[in-house]
Amino acid sequence: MIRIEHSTIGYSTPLLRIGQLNLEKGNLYVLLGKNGAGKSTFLKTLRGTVRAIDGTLSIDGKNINSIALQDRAKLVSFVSSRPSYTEYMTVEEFVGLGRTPYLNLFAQQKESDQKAIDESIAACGIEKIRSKAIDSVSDGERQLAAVAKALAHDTPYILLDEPTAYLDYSNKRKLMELLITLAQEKNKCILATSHDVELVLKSNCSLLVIEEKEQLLHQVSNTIGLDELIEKVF
Amino acid sequence: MTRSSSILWILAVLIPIIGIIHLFSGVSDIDWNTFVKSLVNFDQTETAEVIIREIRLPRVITAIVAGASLSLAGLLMQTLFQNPLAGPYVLGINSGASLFVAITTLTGVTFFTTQYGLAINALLGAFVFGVLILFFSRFARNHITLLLTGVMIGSFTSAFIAILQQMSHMQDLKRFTLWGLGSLQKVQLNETPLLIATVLLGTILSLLMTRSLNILVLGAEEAEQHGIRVRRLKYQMIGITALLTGIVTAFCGPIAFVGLAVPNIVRILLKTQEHKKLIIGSILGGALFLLVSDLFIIKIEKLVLIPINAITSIVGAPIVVFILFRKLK
Repeated sequence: MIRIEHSTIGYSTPLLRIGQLNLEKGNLYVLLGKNGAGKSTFLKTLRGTVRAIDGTLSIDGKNINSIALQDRAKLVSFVSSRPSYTEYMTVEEFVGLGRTPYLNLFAQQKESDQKAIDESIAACGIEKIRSKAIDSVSDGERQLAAVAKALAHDTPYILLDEPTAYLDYSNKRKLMELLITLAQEKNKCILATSHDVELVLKSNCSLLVIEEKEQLLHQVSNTIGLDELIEKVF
Repeated sequence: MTRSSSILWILAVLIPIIGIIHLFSGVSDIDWNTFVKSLVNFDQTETAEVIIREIRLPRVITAIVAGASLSLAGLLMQTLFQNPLAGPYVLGINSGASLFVAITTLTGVTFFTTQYGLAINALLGAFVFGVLILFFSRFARNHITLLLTGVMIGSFTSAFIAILQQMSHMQDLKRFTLWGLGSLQKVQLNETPLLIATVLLGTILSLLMTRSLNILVLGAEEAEQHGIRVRRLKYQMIGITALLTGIVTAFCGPIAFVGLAVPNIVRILLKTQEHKKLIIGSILGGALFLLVSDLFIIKIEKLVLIPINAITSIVGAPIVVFILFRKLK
């Protein structure tokens, strides 16, 4: 469980406050907020690249900033809105890079690594493109490959920064459904940011919002109406 | 056998073949018996045997080791800066070695005064300039900015070297100018173990970083997210590059384009980002590249004498332009 208590998030100036928030396994959380409201900074704080200004943030009972880099790599994985990729790399090799924390210095993959890669590819439904070059597939396919990489990374917590931002509508829906399935079936705690209010309301996820005026991040019921939600966030 | 391992094997087999052709090429004809005798039962009074031991053998070993070293250094730079056009030469790491060698040769000021003083000074220069370009890379927003920074460091350094040359004695100036042309012919047989040890050490240390290098291809942030200490890794990479470039530059002078061209050709041939293969491929490819270049020089030396640096530039520069047009559209 990710547990946040009375925390202020930001760099030198506070961006947002959080009263009390528990993020549990088996759930997909979607964080809605305006551009610049602090969504990415919040994810960076959970990844340990930015320190919270004050308050306590813990993962599985351990303070985020006291977890060693190698240990954190086995707890939290991250998918950016535009995953970086390169030439001369197949989708399968790309997904395989998610195994990095578990490999020896020479990057030799064991049977268990190959199994994790195969399962991740299957879970994201990208078997057909596994031997294709990562720089030749579509944006939507690459985003799915990036999620597969995070799955192969095999962490209980997965953070995604605007994963649907550059996708067309059908790919957006597909990705949201995939994330819900993964959270439930693989018992993961998945947190994604978005500003796609309608898309998020249609999917069965837990809603987090950053309220503009109070700079407050909190959970809201997912039965909330569209108008009320827009009123809160924008 | 996969495509990439067949290519690696072909490279590995070609090196001894070209190496032997190289040994038996030159103005004087030398037969197999003389060659074997020069190795197992050396007679100092036999000119042919002296040619083998003191000229040809060190030259072949130097070509192999220098090619392998510079190429591996180039691969490390390209991965470090995620820039296919990075290399010890374009990023000014050679310039660092050159500057420190110039200071030593032209002014007599030296930071170390052992037998290998020159080599250690070159290594130190390479490392200082490596750290410098690593520092500048923080502010370079794109590939071209970083490369131009490297080129500017090179020009800046050349100016200092030119000033040093103006102030130096005739004898020192001649020595430095000859060194600056780049040559595989000045290494003595008893110096080759140091070169071989350098490339072996560089290779082993690079292979030990395979896991980190594979993920670094996707960027520093990705690497950190997967538990790699990127800052430490970058300094280690600069250290190995400086070692390889510094030692080769000290003994052979600056040799351009090997580090830039070879890893790119290897990547295109192997079609992979797996660094175990890229490291081995770059070492073999670099050795072969310099060996063939040097063999070409020997074959036409009756017509015209070409410095090694000219050949590597003639082959390397068009490759760089090709990559520029292909990747940095």
